[in-house]
Amino acid sequence: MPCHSTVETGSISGGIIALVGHPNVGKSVIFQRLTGQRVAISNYPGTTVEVARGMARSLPDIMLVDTPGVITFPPHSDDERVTAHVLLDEPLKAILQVGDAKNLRRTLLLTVQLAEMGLPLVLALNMMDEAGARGVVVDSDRLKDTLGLAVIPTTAVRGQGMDDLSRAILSAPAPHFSLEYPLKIEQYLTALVPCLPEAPISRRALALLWLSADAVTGTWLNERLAPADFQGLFQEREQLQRSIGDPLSAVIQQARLDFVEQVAGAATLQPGTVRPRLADRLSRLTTHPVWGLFILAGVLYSLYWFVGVFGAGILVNLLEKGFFGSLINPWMVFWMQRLVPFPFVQDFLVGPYGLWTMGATYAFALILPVVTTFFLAFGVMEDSGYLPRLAVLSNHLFKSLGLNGKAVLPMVLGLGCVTMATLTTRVLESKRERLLVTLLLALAVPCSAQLGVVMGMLAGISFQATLIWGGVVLLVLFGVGWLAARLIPGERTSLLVELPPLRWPMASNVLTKTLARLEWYLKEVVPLFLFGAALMFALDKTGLLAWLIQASQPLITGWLGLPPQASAAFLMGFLRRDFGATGLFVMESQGLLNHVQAVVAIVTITLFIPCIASVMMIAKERSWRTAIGMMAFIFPFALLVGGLLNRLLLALGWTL
Amino acid sequence: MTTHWITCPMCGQVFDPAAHAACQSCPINKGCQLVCCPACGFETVDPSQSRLVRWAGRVFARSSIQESALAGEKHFNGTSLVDVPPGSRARVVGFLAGLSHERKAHLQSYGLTPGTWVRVVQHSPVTVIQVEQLELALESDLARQVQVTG
Repeated sequence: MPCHSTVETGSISGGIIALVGHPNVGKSVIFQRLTGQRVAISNYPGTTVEVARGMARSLPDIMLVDTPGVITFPPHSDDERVTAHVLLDEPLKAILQVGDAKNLRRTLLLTVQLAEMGLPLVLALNMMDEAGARGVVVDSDRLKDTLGLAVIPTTAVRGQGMDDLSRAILSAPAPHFSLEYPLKIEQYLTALVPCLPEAPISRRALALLWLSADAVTGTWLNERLAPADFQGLFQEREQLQRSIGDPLSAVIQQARLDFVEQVAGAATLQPGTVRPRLADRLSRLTTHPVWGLFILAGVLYSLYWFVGVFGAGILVNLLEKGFFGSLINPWMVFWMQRLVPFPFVQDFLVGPYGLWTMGATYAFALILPVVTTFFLAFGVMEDSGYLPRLAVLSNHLFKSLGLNGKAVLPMVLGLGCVTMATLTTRVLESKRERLLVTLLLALAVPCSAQLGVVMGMLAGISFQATLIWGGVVLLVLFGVGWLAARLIPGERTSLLVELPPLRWPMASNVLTKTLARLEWYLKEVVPLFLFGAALMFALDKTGLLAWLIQASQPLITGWLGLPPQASAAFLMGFLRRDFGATGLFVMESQGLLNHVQAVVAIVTITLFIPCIASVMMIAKERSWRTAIGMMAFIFPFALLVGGLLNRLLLALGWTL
Repeated sequence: MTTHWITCPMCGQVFDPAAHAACQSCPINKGCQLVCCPACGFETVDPSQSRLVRWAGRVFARSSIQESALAGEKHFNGTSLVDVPPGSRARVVGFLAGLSHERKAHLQSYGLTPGTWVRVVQHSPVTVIQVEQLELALESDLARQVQVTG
């Protein structure tokens, strides 16, 4: 059967064009070049994956959608599934594939699949500069003739080829070439295609996705076909599978690979050399078992300095104590008390648990500087290509926790802000890994706000106390991690990650991303803080807060061996553990805690859930069931560890 | 044991270390791992005799590449990616049956397909290979599933 798509050279005006490509091929740079500043980044409906949309600058009424990078297609990860959704659900006028000129085979494997979709397709062969530096020469005219689509060589970071690209998009033809699959599959396709519903992409491409057992296509068809028809499709696929033997997706993939090998072989004039450049030498060092660790230490220290010291220390101090503490808040309190006649409403807005004095002050003075510096640092690491190298170096450590090296990122970020780190668990492959890391973050990774208070207290006791605290927390981290990895069903995923070339991050790209992420933070996280403040206010006003403090006293005095005043601090710890820690700090400075009591109290509060915002984040990213389950485990467990430590220290007679 | 050859780091002479052990008359000659170059007399270490030197060679990739270049394709008769010494090239033949279809598709979409030449960069902490101009890091249990020939 000949290819389903027809040759047509239309001119495109108005509509949506999807940008599709592998990760790290410069998709977002091309997107930025084509759209300028008019960009909106939002979560794709029903998912937590970010998708950017923007109106094209030099193309009439055309909206560009920047899809997440795909490694495999049909999709395997959440990100890739979003790309599949965009292709199946959006009324696309054309597809713009961004490909890596120096890895032609890989690029073309995706091109073939996109071309089958029958939509006008333009291939931007990007990173011609990197290809040139490595001596790779590609005959783009030959590619154009063989595949029958527009192939434009570009170097997006320098803006080269962008005008050609815009012109090509306007007059893009639907590709014309036919890729023949094995006879049995072709026969099946001929029979199947007329039975499929109308889709934005060609029915042949839809049928091939269905044969490859793509879950997104399966759901899509299930929604549009009568149950009996869908069942019929399913049975026919099973039948074909039985008659062929090898997995259908593997057979289809092989046919594509063979075709790509032919095309790529003919179009590659020079395969390139392996003469190492300076960047390659540096790249070698970053994954080296010895030198890599030194570089890692340097990177982590800079990250800690920028986010932990500069963001969480200097900036927070300026904003919280200076700007909010002595300027804004007294002013707000003054005017509220004058303008609002009801004390109850006054309290709700500017009282000790007020929406403004607690909610907004936390959100803007404490957390905003931390997330801003963090987003900036993260953007630089992302764009420089260092992140996957971090995964390579730490893979061994995370193996014992049933994870792979990719988990290092959320864990390190957790030392900055656990709530943000919970969000970045998205980079992990399986649900199981995301759950494991979320648990460890919530339990045993102290965030920078808390770390500051804890370190201050421990420094006042003794070095020995610091060692005990660190030892217990690490023991819990690895103990619980080891155990959870064995209890949570599912298998560990071995590390498989691409190491993109090290590059200088582009300032404009990093800034745009940071701004877009900050917008997300303001829209979605700030309400959580306000909700938390309202909750505390309600507890306080209804007298539940006082009652809870009273009720928890036996636990605090009996089991943990702490003075009764500590229960108020722990209750605050339910809301934010650094507040709990601050409460303990005040008690210690008043001489209410001896050294053993102080260490027990600090260990317990460190193991608490970070803050109410992180609970909300867990509920949002995982589910409410998970969030409640984690709280039900973490709070008793933290108290258990604290009590055991208390008894151990007393039994050993240590006075620290 | 077959004879192996080492290169003198001073003058570049290639010789058999077994035939040139250092100074027979030396009182601490027993257990001494130094050998003397027959051409210039420079004392050097036979890497096959010293565990520590081999370990250091492995850890510091530069020297291991030199070592493997010397060892050449002769010592390389393994069948999976983990057997390919760093710095050498190999051609992908196929995948072991134990590899899940999903992971196989994942590897293939990176261009790791039968007939493709790959260059192994390192094995520690994880295996790093180059396919076309792409670098890929994969854990040894995955690398073991990729069958190659020299």
